[in-house]
Amino acid sequence: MHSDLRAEFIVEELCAATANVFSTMLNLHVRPEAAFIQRSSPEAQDGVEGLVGLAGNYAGIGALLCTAELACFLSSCFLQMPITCVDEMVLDTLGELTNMVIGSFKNTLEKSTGPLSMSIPTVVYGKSITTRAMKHDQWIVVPFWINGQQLIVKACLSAGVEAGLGPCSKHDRQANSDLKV
Amino acid sequence: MPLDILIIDDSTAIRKVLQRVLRQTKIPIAKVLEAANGSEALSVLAQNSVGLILSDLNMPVMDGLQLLAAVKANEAWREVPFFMITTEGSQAKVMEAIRLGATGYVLKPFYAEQLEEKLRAALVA
Repeated sequence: MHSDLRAEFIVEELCAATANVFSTMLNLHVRPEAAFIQRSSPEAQDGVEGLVGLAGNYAGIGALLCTAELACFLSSCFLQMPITCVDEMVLDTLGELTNMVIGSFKNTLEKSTGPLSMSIPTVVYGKSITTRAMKHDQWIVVPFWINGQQLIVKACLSAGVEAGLGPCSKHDRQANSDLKV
Repeated sequence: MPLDILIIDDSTAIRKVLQRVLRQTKIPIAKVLEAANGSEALSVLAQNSVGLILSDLNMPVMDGLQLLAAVKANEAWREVPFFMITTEGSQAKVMEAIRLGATGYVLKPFYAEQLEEKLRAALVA
């Protein structure tokens, strides 16, 4: 069952979920750039980040990260009204977009992992944001360019305690290593 | 006859989007009421007579399944069509919602046309 959870599979499903949510809810047709694995702590970045936790046989985090400017643009598309500064509604929209993208990703993932539960989204806004997931040593990162700005969609997942497989199987590590920038 | 509709979601943004989508449909709407969780929704229901309920599933305080169970346990509200509109697509959650008496289950993201089609079918029935 768990052998299906390769990095390529995760990238494919993150791309599909993002494209589907953005075209359906924002009328934006987005294309991914080359995906990569981030093993060290990511560089600090200014902007808005939505995070959703996943738990079950696999556990981890899914996240969307973008600049404040792009968060405003996405909110404008979602709400169909002009928005120029980050306010409660922008943070709420980014949380909801994260919920939909990672939720759609989770729904597909469950065919390989078994049932996963999902947390209510958390949104962070500020300068020099760095996200560190305890017990997860690598993020699978898929960048998108939207309206001249970068949107990062990323996930870190590893086999949970319930699965009894330890933090990440050798097979998964090998598969992840094969994913090149 | 125009309906009063209750939307329950912890996201203000999605409540606004749902309001807009509903108003774009041909469903006759009198008033759209909002609540941020199941507990707030029960207070709204106690003070208003609504003809359609659209609820998220994962919410703080009281989630959509708990709300659905409470609505179906109340004689005054049990016949009101109740739709789950959620990202949560796991078979277990869908089955639980149907078992508790949900009229329908709409997965986010959704197109306005898909939502209208499901709602109209239930309202006509």
